[in-house]
Amino acid sequence: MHGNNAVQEGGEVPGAPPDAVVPAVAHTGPVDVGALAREHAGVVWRFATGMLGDADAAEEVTQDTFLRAHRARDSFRGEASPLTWLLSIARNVCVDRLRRRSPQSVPLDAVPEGALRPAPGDPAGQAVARRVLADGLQHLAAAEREAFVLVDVLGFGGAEAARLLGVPATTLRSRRHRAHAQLVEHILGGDPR
Amino acid sequence: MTCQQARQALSAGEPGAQAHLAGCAACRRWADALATVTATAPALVPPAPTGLADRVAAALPPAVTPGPGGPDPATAPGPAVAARTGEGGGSQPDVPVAAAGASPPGRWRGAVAGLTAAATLVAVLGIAAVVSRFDQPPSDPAHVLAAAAEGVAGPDGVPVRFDIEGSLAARFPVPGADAPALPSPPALEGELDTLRDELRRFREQMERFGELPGRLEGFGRLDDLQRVEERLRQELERGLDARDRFRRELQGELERAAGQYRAGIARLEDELARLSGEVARFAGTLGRFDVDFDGSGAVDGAGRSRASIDYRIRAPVDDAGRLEVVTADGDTFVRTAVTGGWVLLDGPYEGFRFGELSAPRDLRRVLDRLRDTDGPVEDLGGRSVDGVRTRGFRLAAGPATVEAWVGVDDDRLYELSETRRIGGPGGLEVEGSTTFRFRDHGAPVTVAVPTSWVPLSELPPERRPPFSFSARIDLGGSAGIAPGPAVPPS
Repeated sequence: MHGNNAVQEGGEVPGAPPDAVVPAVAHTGPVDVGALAREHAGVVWRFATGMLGDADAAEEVTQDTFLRAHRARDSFRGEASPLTWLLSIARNVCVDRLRRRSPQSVPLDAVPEGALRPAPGDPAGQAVARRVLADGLQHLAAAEREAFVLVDVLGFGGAEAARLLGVPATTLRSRRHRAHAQLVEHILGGDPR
Repeated sequence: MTCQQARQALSAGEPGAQAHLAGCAACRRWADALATVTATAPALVPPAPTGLADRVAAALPPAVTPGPGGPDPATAPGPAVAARTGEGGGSQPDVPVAAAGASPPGRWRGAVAGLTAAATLVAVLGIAAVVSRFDQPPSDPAHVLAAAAEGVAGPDGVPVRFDIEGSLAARFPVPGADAPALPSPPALEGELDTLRDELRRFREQMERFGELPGRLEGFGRLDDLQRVEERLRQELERGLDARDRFRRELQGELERAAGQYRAGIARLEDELARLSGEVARFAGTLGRFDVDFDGSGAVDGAGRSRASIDYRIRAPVDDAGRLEVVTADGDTFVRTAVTGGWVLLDGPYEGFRFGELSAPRDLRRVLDRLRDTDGPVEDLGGRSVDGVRTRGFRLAAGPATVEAWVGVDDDRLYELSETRRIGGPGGLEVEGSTTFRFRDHGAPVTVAVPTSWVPLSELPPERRPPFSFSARIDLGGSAGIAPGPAVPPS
């Protein structure tokens, strides 16, 4: 579960330092943002949805991300994979939105007493767990939320996610742990013993 | 290993916590919950909506230098702009933005796009009107213009830069005066329809939630197992307890969801009522739009142009409060406030490419095509444009008045301005003025003019202009009507 690389483009170099990432594209001219949009808009949208918890806002973030990428296309040097570059932009757009967003006025509903541990093949229980976790996700701090979304939701590897966020791998690990701890606490109904 | 260390190891997916788990029930419980978190996480975000990538790609401004597979504006078939004017609330082009009309920002996005398109139309028509006078006898002042055209336009173009500024004012008939009643702006009607659809969807979801508890009654068959297998009774009781607990939790979840949906419906109904009031107020008080814009751009050697334009749109509204229209971009793409009875929209608009609106042509062919255009040419005398001595000429071409300022020493075109008044259905009047200042002339360039006009609605998405305004009206939370400082109209 942890850190599968389902959506990674730049791969880690065997034998190289953990954070070394091969650019997915050897880039020589302005990047074709339209082609990137067709390839990566879905991942950018999923990242924004995880960050904002709002599918409509995520679509606007996706539009804004590719518009900004279009404006900055001459500055793309291929030092990171295009997807990493796009997600860095999307992250900035999301952070801007989160700063503007007024504090949550509706408190989170109390989670039902006891653990929510749906058995495999229990779609109703899994639906409830998803709902509870989605609520909990929106109550994480932005730094912890983006670490969780990148690695646990989107499946980025730790090195690539740390590079994308511009933090050391140890910081990413701490943020993920805090995210996990809060979500677990959320599931256990405020009783993390 | 402490509990904290064990949980960190579990969180990082590292081995080593098993020995601790064996002796710590609390951490086993924690680990079970973490497993639920990690197993559920990939499903927390649904797959991207269908067509998202195409919508995003279609909304991007086309690159001046086309990428692989992209259309080349120098060779792509047909020019690509038209502005519909006078439909209800003003000039309103078809806007290829995914959410246009689906949310409150649609009206502003449409208005900005429409007015910007109209301003562009005015500007491009201005060029056409001027170059149409270049092919005049040598004794006519237009002969000077022809020489100026040769100075800035030729078959072997090189880059030239220009500045642009201008204004556009649209007037609408105001209900209650002498004019007939103004219909509701179509964009706002669209918002109402969207909210009604949303309300209906919420109600349908509520009905579906209402059916679920009944279906859960089927679980009661588990009770029969108690009579069939006595030795499993205790285990069954535990299972039944778990089932009942789960049912209670699910029931509570459903009730909370239903409560939230009911609250959502109530909020939507309030918003519908308020938006209806806004529609009425908007239609009843909006009598005009004013647009000011300025910017700069460049024409490359192939005659393709690109400009970046700042705009400001003002319109009066009959409300002394403050309506925040939250921007969707940290670059202040659109920032709006209704203060003291005026609405202001301002911000940069980039990726505006005149080459997309016209087909680059050899000026000789342009002159051949426009030679039938007629009208007097008035000598305006001399003046300095950016430190260059120029001589001005004024043309009257149909509803437009065009002024061209030509270098005295080099016969190059340094300034081109045009004022035009356009009437539309429903009493709409649009008056616009645009000024181009050319600089850094090095050698002739190709002046691009349109060869035909087609409605945006007839163009495929990839050929539409890059109107990508993204604005959002947040009707809840901190946004909405609230007191604010007055800003007098200029």
